[in-house]
Amino acid sequence: MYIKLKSNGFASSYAERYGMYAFQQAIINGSIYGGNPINSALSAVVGTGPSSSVYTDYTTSWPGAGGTSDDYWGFVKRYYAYGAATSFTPRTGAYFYHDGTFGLRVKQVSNNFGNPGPNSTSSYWTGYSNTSYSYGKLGTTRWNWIDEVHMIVNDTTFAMQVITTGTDSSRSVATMVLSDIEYNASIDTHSYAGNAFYCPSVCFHSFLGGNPYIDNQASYTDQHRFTVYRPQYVDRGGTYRNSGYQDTGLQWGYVTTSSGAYAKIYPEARSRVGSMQVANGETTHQLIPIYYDPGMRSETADTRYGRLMNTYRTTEGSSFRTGDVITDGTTRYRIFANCWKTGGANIGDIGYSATLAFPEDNVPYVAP
Amino acid sequence: MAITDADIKATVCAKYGIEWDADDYPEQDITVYHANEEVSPDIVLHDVFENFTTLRILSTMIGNIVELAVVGEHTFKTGQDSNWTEWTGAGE
Repeated sequence: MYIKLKSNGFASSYAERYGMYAFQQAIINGSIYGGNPINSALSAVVGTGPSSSVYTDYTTSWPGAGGTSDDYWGFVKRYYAYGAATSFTPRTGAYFYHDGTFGLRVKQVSNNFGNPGPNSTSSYWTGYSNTSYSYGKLGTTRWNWIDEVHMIVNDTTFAMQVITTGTDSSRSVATMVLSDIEYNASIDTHSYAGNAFYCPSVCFHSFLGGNPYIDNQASYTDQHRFTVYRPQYVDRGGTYRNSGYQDTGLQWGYVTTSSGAYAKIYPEARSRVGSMQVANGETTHQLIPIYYDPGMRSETADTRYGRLMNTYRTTEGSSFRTGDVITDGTTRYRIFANCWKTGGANIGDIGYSATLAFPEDNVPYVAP
Repeated sequence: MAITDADIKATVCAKYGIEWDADDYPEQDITVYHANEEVSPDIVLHDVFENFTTLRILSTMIGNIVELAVVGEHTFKTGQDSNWTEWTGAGE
């Protein structure tokens, strides 16, 4: 299911709370919130929704627990192969928080809402937390700085992109993808049996502040961020651990230590993706599955490689806009465009807008 | 009371991936709790701590026991403190 929420620019008290209602209603019920801060006429819900009970409210008392200028909400998400084996019921979650100090941010959490990441709830979109700076800070209070929010809500994948108001050169684009790793019955059922917080899911966050729609231009200094996070994993020795957090470009795609790198995705974030020529004079867009690479920088690091289900890279470039549709046969894929700048050896380099694609309709688990 | 032994604190940080911004590590207090056996891993941490929304709480399981590492100052909600036993690493 693809969801677009168009902001109406609401700038009054409790905008954060009503915004959380809008997120809640979209994700849990698959519907558009009818009041401020949403322009419902320009918003949309398209495609088949997730299976029953995959997304549930973390607690019915949220939102509405915050103040006039802040609020929070969250959901628990069942792993897509939940119940595939006896007593195999892993879940993950997401925690939304909106206030003036750290702006709007969404963190992946365990099913008890512990293990938030990247970094804590008290941090910016990609986890930077030193309030002397604003590296990756998405907005402030209210909704008058939000232009659009796009979401994918499916069994395997939750994705969200927030686009701020402004021009092609001044907007910020913040993207978060929470995706299940392809189920491996041998690994995952064993790992879950020893720890109820284990869930083979991964999130990655990116932030572009400035020039998101202009190719071959860098974002504003220190406003190009990228992180990969997994709340709970098992190391080679069998110890359950939480993944470390880096918001310094170390997950961009280059090895930083003699023993390995930090967790990243593959194709690497910095890798470029182009279109290809096919028959009949057509140009086609590749759908490249994204893999989670745990990094293996030490013997206590995560070792679980895996495909991120229904999450693809496709043709780069700023001509794409989020919400665009590409098709493969009858399957529609929604574009999340301008997620980060590819092509540079370092995260702050000039580059070309990376594009993600997700199936619009839900893809439920099918036992092999 | 937070963990004071530097080696134990380092071990806890490694286990929970607490290695973010240099200005936060390792100065912040880190306190580890073990739950009573009857505490479900499904317990909502918002219902455990008063200042949940400002905390970073890492959790794992030790067998059937929930273990939490709480970063920063925190306060239990009424009736919750009896469910959690602080672990300092001393004598273990």
